[in-house]
Amino acid sequence: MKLSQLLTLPVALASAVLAIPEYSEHLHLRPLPNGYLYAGFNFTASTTLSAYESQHFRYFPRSLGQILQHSHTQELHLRFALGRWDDESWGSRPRDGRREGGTGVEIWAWLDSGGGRVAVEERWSNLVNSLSGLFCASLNFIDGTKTTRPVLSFEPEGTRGEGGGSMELLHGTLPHEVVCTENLTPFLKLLPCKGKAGVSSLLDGHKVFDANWQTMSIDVRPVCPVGGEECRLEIQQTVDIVLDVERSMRPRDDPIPRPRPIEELECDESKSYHAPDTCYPKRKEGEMAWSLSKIFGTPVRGSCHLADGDEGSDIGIEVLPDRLVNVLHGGSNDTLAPHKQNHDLRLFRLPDSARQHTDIMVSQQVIQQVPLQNQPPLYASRQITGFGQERGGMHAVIRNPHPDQQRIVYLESLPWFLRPYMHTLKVQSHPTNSHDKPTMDVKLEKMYYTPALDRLRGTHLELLLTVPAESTVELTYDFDKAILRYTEYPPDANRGFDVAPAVIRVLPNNTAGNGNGNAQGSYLRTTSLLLPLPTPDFSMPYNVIILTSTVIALGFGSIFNLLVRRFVLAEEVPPSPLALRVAQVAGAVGAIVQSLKGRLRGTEVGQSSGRKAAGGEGGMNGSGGGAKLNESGGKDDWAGGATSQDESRKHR
Amino acid sequence: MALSARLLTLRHSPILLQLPPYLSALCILIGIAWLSILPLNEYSRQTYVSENAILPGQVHTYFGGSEHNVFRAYRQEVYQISQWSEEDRLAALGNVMQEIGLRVAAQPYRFTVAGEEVNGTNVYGLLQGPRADATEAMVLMAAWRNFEGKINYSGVALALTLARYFKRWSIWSKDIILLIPMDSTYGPEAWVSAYHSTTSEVTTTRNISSLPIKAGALQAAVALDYPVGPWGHRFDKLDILYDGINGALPNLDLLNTAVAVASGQMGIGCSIHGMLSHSDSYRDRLTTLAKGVVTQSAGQATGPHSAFVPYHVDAITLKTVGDGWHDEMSLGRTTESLFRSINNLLEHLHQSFFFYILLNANRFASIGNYLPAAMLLAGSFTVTALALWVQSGQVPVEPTAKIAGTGSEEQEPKLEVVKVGEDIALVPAATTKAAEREMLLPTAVVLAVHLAGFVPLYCLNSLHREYLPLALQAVTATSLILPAFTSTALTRQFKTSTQQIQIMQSFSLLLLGATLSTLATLNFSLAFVIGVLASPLSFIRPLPKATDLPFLRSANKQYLYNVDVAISFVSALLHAALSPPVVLCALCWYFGHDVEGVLVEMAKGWAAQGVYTSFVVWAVWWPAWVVGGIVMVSGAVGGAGRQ
Amino acid sequence: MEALTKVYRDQPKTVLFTAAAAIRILAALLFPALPDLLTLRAELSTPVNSFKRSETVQYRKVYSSMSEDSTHTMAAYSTSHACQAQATTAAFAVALAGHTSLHPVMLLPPIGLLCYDRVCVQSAEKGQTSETDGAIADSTKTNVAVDLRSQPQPLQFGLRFVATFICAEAFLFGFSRLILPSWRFIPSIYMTLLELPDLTPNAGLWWYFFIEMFDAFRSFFLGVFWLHMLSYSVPFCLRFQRQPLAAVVLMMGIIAVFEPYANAGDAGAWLSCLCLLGHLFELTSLHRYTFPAIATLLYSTLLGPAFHHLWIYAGSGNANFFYAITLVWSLALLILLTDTVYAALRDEWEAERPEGKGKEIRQM
Repeated sequence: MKLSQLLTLPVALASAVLAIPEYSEHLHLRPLPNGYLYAGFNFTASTTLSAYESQHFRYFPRSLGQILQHSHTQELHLRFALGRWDDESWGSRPRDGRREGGTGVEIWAWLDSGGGRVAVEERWSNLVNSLSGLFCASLNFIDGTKTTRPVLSFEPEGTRGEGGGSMELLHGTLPHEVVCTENLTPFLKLLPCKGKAGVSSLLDGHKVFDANWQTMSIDVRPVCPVGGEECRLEIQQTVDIVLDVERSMRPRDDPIPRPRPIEELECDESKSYHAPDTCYPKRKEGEMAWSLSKIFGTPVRGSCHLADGDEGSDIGIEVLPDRLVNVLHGGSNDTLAPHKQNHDLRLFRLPDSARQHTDIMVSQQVIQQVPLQNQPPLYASRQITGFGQERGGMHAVIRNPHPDQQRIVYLESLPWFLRPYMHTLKVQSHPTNSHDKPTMDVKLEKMYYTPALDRLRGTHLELLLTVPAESTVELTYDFDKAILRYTEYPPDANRGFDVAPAVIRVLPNNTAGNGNGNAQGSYLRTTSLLLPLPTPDFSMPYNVIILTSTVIALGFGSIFNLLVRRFVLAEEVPPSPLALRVAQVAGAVGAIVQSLKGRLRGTEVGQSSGRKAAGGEGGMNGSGGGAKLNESGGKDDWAGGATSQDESRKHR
Repeated sequence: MALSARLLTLRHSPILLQLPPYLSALCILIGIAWLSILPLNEYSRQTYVSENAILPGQVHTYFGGSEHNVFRAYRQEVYQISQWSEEDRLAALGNVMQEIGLRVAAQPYRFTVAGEEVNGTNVYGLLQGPRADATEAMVLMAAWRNFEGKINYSGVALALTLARYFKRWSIWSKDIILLIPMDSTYGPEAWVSAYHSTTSEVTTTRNISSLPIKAGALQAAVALDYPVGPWGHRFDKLDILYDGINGALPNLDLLNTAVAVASGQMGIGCSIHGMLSHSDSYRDRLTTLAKGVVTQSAGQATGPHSAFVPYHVDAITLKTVGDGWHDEMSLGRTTESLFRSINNLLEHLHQSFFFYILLNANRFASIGNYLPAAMLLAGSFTVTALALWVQSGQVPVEPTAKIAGTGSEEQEPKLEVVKVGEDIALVPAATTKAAEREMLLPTAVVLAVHLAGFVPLYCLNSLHREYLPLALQAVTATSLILPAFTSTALTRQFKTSTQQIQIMQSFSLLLLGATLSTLATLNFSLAFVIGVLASPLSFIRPLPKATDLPFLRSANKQYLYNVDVAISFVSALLHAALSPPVVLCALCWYFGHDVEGVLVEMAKGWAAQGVYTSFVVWAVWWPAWVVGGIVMVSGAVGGAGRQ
Repeated sequence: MEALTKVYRDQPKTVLFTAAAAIRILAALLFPALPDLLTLRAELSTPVNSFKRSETVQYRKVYSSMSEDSTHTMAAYSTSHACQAQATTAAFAVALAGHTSLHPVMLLPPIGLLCYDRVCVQSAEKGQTSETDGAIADSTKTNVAVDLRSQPQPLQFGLRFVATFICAEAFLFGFSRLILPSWRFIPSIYMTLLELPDLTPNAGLWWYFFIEMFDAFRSFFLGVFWLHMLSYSVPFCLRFQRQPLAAVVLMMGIIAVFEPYANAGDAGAWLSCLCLLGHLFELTSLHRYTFPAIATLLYSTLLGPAFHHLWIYAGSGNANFFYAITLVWSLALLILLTDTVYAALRDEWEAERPEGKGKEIRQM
């Protein structure tokens, strides 16, 4: 019996059985390989559409209902996700991946498309804003740039009677959002038992967010039973977590994983070098012992059987038939008998008493028979290749382990500052195990591509293709990294920007192993990516503005300076009066110096020096120098005067 | 003469034209002296951690206790494995990682370097941070054989133990990749290049298969080098290797963190460039600086971390040196604390310096302080180039036509000649007339010589290793005769004038200067070393004819001839001594490497890791040297267009 | 050898173009990776001329892909035709250039001037030949003896020229509308040029300025920058009435330095266009700082890629490194530009005052 089918059981019930209980909850437990435990919580409430219209809510959360009415939302899917599902070792995803989202927050909804595009966008922003208030998440940051309109990837889950108008699907993601207890608390508030009683009493922030993988989902959809009685609006809340048993069983007061005391170490004595101080750790074998109260820190408190006609089971454990499971009930040690049991699933129903505790204990046990590991429909991974902050490449690898081909829809919604080059898009496939075979191009059946507009709209890429049997499809394309305005960077600019995970929908296929007949098919998501962008210097605005303006001003100034003025021979330029005055003063000083010299030395020296001086001063100012010399320099230095005179003439 | 004319001739004034040789000599001297003052406290700084998120040594480390037993066991296991064949070894390593709980993958690679094939396989495992979203990762690396080729028993064992220990923590915000390459150069290179590329295109030199498992963007890589077998050995200090390919350096914060953790938290001393005993004295600082400059200018890999740095992944190697009392556990705790610090990072390391010269484990000179050294050296070439350009713009008129030139001015240039001696500054006569420059031939020659540089580059990087020494000898021989030959051809065939020679040298020097100043920003040390070795090129002038020498006017023919020969012989000898191949051999001899080994290393770096040192040597320095030779000889042979 | 020279003398154009084509093809054959390499250089490729982008499916990109490549040719083409006094062709070429990337429109006035000048000369020559039977009309002579009556009216010529241009533009828009589904290409082309939404680093002055600009002043400074670019066209025309070719070339230089998505290609095109003013080289090198400017250009061409690598790939340098180099680059180009302006003016001045040759002169 397949996990996925089991987990869709409540859904199947809800849609098949005529009398739908107004509220039911279920916890599914399943040990995973390597000492992990999967716990899937499911809370389903519903109300008739008439009651919904008349705002008459019983188990259906009023706060959410009003938001939905106000934003004319036909169907809502909201996801909070953290960590990774390791499908290499844990096998296929719970609920066929239909109740999980990409890292961070993901939301898609069908809104009334009446009133045109503008009205729809108005409703969408209403929806995300009020939801962000309700769940303490920054959903309000989902604006036009983070919203896409997928065509093939999602289909309405709800069965809608006649009368429903046309709808429009909008899809938004927040990959950078960190999911935390502040999101869990409002989530629990929506439950009728508010997480105080029933299986929801296990949900405690410390444990949920210490999980290796956890996803919370809220799905609201209309359901119209086949039996022609009136349609109902159903809300399904799920919490799926995978816990590391060893880690979560640590005492809360001492969570530090100190090295074990030496005596507690299980060594592999078979090693030749085994010695008291040399211990090769032994490989764990068998199933670990665990109990609800140890793992979740508390047993199940009471039960939450509210709705009449709710005869379903509360807890199901999926373990091998010969695994010992005893369910302690109340303070006493009286065990609870399975409510239903088929070969490896045991269903328990909590007693209706409100304040009695129930705990499940599974002991350490070595079991030869390995639990059947069902393969996921596909393995997918996506990486950014290349280095540097100018350009890069996207590289998605999709591996089909099954012996039959599968049709998939590959959806990517990229931020606008990642600029893909669609002409470089290559989709190639090659057999997984044999590399010698040549790679061949995969034909794209359909391709929907909405190019990004800077600062307005992100890229939306949707591909419909077929993954051949037992082969790997590699999808690559190049892109450029835009550089932003310095106000558009986050505070941690050098970390990079998160790119939302790619959503892969495996279309239901009659021949495919996973196909269980419903129209949804199964989903899986790659991990989100980190996109480093080139960063400017954030401390520079003033300097840059000043420097650039200076250069431009230089060019402008010098060019127009040349353009507007006319050329004149330097000789024709009348000397500025200031220059004349300066020259005279200099000449006077020089002359005085000379005359002093002349007095000190004899006339002989005086003459020659006078001559030299005259020659020298001629450079500065002939007339002044010459005149002074005639008085000072004694008898026959007229020559010097003369030289200075004609030199000076030259200089005018 | 008129003021305007005076102003016009200012730029051609003899003073300005005599200045450049001294100016560039000054540049060179200051440039070299510059490095020697860096070790002083005034010009270097104490290192400090500028990224606040790191918080080095703030966490308590728990690695120890029973982990020690596990470590011993792993070391024994590694020792056993080392006896097995390669396939079994890889399988065994994979098994151990699997038991630890990592996702294991292997990557075979093949390089063809200097005619030999190098095959190997990287084994690596991915530890997914429990609550990480797979966007970031850090690498813990322990090469199977360390850089000296010793088997890295304890390093690998410690890495495995740490991985097993890390697995139990839930604090990791980034994935941890445990990488065990088979060797310390090719393996990491293959891994990191495959990590950053989509498809692995096979080339003649490299064939790398793509990675089956990848994680997010690599934030940092730390390699452990502890080649001690089961017998164990306590070490004294951690030698921190940080030089990347082509002299790229990791962010200084990573280094500081390692030093702070090791010495501050664990009390393990850290050393740089194997300076085990470093009394923080001027002498020791200078030695460290010199070692740093040499290693950086080589541009070769210095450890397994080197391959990561060009991909903007900050990486270091922790190498245990000396005999002391520190054991593997303290190294383990250091690594744990270091990874905790890296794990704290919110952004990629970007705060601290990427350009620095370390003088000690905790002292450095930043780019602002040391760059001028290389820039001055490059500037010296540019100055000479400008001067030559200006000179080439004017040809001297006949001495008979010198009216203005008085006796004293007549004497000056001759005195110059005597002063400078070997290299003679061409001082033009007082009056010159502007001349049209003929630039075609010089440009062609310079280009041709630069293109010719690719021949030795190709030969020395693609031949089989046993032919390399031969090739080097051939290159040496050809490059020694090439200048004389070319210059004779030019002067005899094309009747090159002095002006053309000047333009030729000017172009070549200008190019050299520009290239070096650019290189200084990429790999300072390489630019500096090449600049120093090439600095004499800016003083080379055409050899004077003995007849031109003023003090030999009266000498007889035979004597003049002898003088000619003597001058040419001496200068040719000096010039040959400065030729790249000769200098290369001299360096090998000085550092005690065998030439073949060095050549193979260079070829390896070029082919496998894209080290461009040999390119700089053969396509930048060598052509400049050849042109210099041509210029010098042009004077001797037929004295070209010297009137 | 003689044969070659003869051929060259016979039809130089053919030889030139054959040689150019040969080189281009040879390069393509020798280095097949060259085009990719070039498209990936930041200094060369900008959003509006990036060939790679052109291949993406949006029309803005498809459309403006041809721009940069064609612009230069168109500008040159129109110049050459203007020199042959073929107003219509010239106007059409300008229209084509301006249609694909806005700023060549600024070439319209100088080219119109050039056209007008040539037309005058031609008509003058006609007049000459009609009066003096078959005397060779060399320009100086005609300038001396031309009766103004035989010359076309400047105003009406200008009107005709502008009209031609407008018609051509209209035709082109109509044509583009035919091949494209809607009118949306108009905003998507011209807004990209006017608003600079794409701040990818290039060799120009705009990108870093508008990265660091405060949002409140962004549109204001965009306006200022465009006005500044526009402000040169008319003054050049007025000042260089007697040498319109200089006006055209200088305007091309202004565009190469100040255009929004500047790149080395434009600068190169301009530097090669400088050869049209070859007679000014001596003046520039005699009186100005040409060699330093060119050396600076050399340095910045080497340092630019290095700093870009340090910033973008090595991550060891930050944006300021590359920004500084773009400043130096633009500055060097500006110096060359200013020198050319000086030389052109001085050339004109010396023509009328031959005694001033080689003397020191002042500006008033």
